[in-house]
Amino acid sequence: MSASCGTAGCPTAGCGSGTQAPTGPVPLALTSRPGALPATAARGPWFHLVEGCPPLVFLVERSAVFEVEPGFAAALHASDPEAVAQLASVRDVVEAPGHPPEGLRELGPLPAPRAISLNVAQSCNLACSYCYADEGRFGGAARRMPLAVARRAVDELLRTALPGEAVLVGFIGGEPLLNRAVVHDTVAYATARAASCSVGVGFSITTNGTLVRAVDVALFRANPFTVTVSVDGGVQTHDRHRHRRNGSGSWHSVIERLHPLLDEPGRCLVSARATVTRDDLDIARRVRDLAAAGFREVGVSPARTGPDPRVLLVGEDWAEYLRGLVAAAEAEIVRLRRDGTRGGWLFSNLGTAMTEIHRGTARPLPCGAAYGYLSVDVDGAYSTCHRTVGDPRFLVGAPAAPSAPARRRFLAPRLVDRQEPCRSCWARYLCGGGCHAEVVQAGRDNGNCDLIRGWLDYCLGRYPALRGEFPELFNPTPAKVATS
Amino acid sequence: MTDDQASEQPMVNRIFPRNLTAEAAYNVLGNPPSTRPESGVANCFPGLEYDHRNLDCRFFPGLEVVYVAQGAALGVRIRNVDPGENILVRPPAEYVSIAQALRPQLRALSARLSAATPWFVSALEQSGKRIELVDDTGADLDGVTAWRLIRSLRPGPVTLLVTPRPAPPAQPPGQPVPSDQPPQTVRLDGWRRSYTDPQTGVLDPTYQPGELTQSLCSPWTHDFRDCSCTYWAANHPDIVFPAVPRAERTQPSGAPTEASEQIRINWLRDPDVAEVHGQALPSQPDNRPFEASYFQINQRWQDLSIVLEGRETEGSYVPRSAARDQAVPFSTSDELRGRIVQLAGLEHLVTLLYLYALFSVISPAQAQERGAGRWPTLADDVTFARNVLLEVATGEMQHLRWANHLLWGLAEAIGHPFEPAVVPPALVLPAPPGGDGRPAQLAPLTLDTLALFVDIERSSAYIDGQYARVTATLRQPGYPPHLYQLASNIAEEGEEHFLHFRDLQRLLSPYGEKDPVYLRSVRPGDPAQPEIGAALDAYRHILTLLETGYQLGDRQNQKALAEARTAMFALQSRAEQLAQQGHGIPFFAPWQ
Repeated sequence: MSASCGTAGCPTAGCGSGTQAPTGPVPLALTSRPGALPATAARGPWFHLVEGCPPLVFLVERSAVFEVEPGFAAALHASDPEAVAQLASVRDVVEAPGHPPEGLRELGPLPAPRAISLNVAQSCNLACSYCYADEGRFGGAARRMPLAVARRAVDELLRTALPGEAVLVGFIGGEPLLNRAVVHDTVAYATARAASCSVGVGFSITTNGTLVRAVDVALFRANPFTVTVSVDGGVQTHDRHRHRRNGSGSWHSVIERLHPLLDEPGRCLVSARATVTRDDLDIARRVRDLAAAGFREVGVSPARTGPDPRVLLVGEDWAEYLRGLVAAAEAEIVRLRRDGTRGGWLFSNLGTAMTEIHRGTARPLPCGAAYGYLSVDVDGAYSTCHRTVGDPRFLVGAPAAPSAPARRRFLAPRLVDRQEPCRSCWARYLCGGGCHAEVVQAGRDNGNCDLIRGWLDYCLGRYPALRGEFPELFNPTPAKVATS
Repeated sequence: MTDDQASEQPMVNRIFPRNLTAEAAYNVLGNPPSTRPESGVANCFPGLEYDHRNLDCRFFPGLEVVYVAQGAALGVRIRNVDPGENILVRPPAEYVSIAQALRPQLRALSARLSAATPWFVSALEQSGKRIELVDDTGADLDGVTAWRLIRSLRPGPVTLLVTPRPAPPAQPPGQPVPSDQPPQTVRLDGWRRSYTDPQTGVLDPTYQPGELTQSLCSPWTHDFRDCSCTYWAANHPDIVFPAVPRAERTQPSGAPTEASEQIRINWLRDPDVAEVHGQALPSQPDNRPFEASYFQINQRWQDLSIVLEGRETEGSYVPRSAARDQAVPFSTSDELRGRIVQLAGLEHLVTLLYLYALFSVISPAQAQERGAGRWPTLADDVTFARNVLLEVATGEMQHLRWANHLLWGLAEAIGHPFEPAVVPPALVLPAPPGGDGRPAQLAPLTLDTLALFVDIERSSAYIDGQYARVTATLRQPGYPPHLYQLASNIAEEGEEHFLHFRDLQRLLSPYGEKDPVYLRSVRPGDPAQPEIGAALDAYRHILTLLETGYQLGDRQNQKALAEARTAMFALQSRAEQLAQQGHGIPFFAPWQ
């Protein structure tokens, strides 16, 4: 299972939620609330033209990509009624009965959570300037999760899993390795418990890497782990913001400690997740430096919310950030041509977007938060995701008691068709509406939405040629995914 | 939308699905996956993907014909006429005018069709050539022959002559059919259909799903039973050994210990009567009543057992060799070599035992005389006995050669000079489990002797078990893999030999222990006698030739082996003559 939340348009690559939003229509609930949408609301655009050579048409509700002749594209662009009518006849085939698009607009029955993250250490040894987690404390006191709480959360996760299914247990913080004993114990416990009920189990951890020891390396190698390392780029880029409490940089420590794991990852997949701040938007260089340090997968996310407003992206930054993303994507394509595709995608933002476009993913929510994925705080209470731990607005369950009604209350109004300005956006079912935590904190701004649309436009335009050039990257067999 | 439509309607804009959701939901131009060669029921037997004749049943637009090759009215019968067929309504550009003229012709024909009077194609015309569908005598060609002619038509304009054939009135045979109503031939000007779209390769949509495969075998159903096992597109097992229950202990070779697991059973047996009628019968017709019915095959084909190494499997398959290789490997290649030399001697010994026993059995001709009246099957039984003994003895000779091949391969691998191990034969039978070794004796084929042979060939007891440590050693890294394979083959053939002798035991036991009627009175001859001495010389000469021959890789050596083979045939005749005089060849004499 990828560490990325898997939304094509999500600017937060590898946000660590470790689970995916519902792919395709959410099962239709008969108990929907018809009044939830204003009756006068016109439906959003149902197709989107991607200019280029050849031009493409994107049918929104099935995320279906068609290549069209330039004359047809021009006619569609000019809203020529005949051309639109012809495209509508294609849409009627694509969205034929059996693929009810209504599922995108109503929240069906919620699945039992299949992924949890355990906030095992509500504290951190670093003091990064942009950390959303407030040095791991999430606004509270520094604390660690007791063993019993972790085990109970695993029990609860497995209680609803059926034989043959797979679950994911993630470790987050703060810095989860500050509570090493609980991480190790929980892996052993969950492995044994899952085996006893014929359930597959995978693990993920989001770490700053500075505390990784040989025993941890052995643990990651021996288990199906996705290890996401928060590392921002080369030494100067990284140390600018990721520093210890005494102000010293952490890059050398991270690389030195991860070196054995990067060299021989065993069963685990090690990926880097870089936070991009407004003072350095050269994404391609970050990716290149992290690849040189030994990472085989690198994703970037912009700093949007955090304690230090000076580093957060605003206004014009988004256009620059998009240029950075595109440059990094172009560099990735050059790299694939030069080095071949054996290692898969290095730049995971591009890989995720391409995979989702290829599959034609259409989702009404941005990620799996509160849907198939929940986060557990040190006391065992459930939050919608790892970014909202400790915030009562996102609480969806008391210790050992995740609440389906609370999850539904949280999700139902957040379906992308009930969001503004999402409902009139062509990219709504690829984007899903954006990170709940960020939207609640910072709202949606045009700059950020333009970034997502621009990125998707770029990826859609690139997709047909890349699929032709590197078919193996679109093969359904994942090449380097660590699963059980 | 097809290309055809696109070319007709130039205003339509073309649109191509590019990602999976677009591809999945959109009608993509092409033939269904079942038309690909790799989807054929017979992907190992090309030609069974579809029935080509079905294409030619619609070779002419608006007509559907059937090729009749059996019965009274032979030829190309018209089954259906459809003047409104799509291709006639919207014909390809080059056939527009032909189609316009053809449709009224077809309508007229359609009006005249009736069940009582079948119509047949009587002649074809293309490019100025005309073929009448009759043979030299004027008789109608049968459907298969006519079909071949129709297959030879090229795409392009074709004219057909179709003729009604009234059913012959009932009348005494031998009298000519009255011809007062000459058939009215109808002429149809059309073209031979293009079976696929020239641009896309897509099959003409006139063909309905299933139409092209409708006359093929039905895999896993009726044909699976009824086609004989030598034809079926993917051969299936026929007579097999039953599965060994998982927990059961097997002999070191992996062979089962229970006699009931050595009974041959019919793989396609009716599961409901299998308990009652376990053993397979000698012929397919005999077995048929006890085989699964069509219904059972259709319902339960997935229960048919997987057969490996001739035996049905239950649960996980454990290779026989896995059991055998539990033996302790030799620690040095010298030890290994020593054991193979020993085994070569043993193969030599049992060859002699079996050959001696072979010549102690009367000839089928003698059996005819002796058995007359009292023992009606004696001749068959001795034929079987002699064949089994000769076959097994030949098998052991082969093993002797393989043992030498092992030695040669071993010498190559470790860089030692190769020395053949042909002589001397072992003179002592190794100890069976829990027993002692005992001196070998040449003996006629009494039931006691046969019991010993069964023991010798029973896995683990004598020879087979002796190979266990050899295969275990050869399996280790450092030895050439083909040597392991060769040694395994020797060990596995023992089981066949065992079964042969077991069958022979069953066959001969009715003849009794004392002076059985199938035996000659044969005693080992005196080497001093000239005839016996000459036979022993011939035997020794064969051994010398073999030693020379086993020096592999040399043309002279191959020649020596060929000579040895000739000499063996000569010795066989000589031994047969001596045996008729009551003398067995004292094969051990040169070594005692």
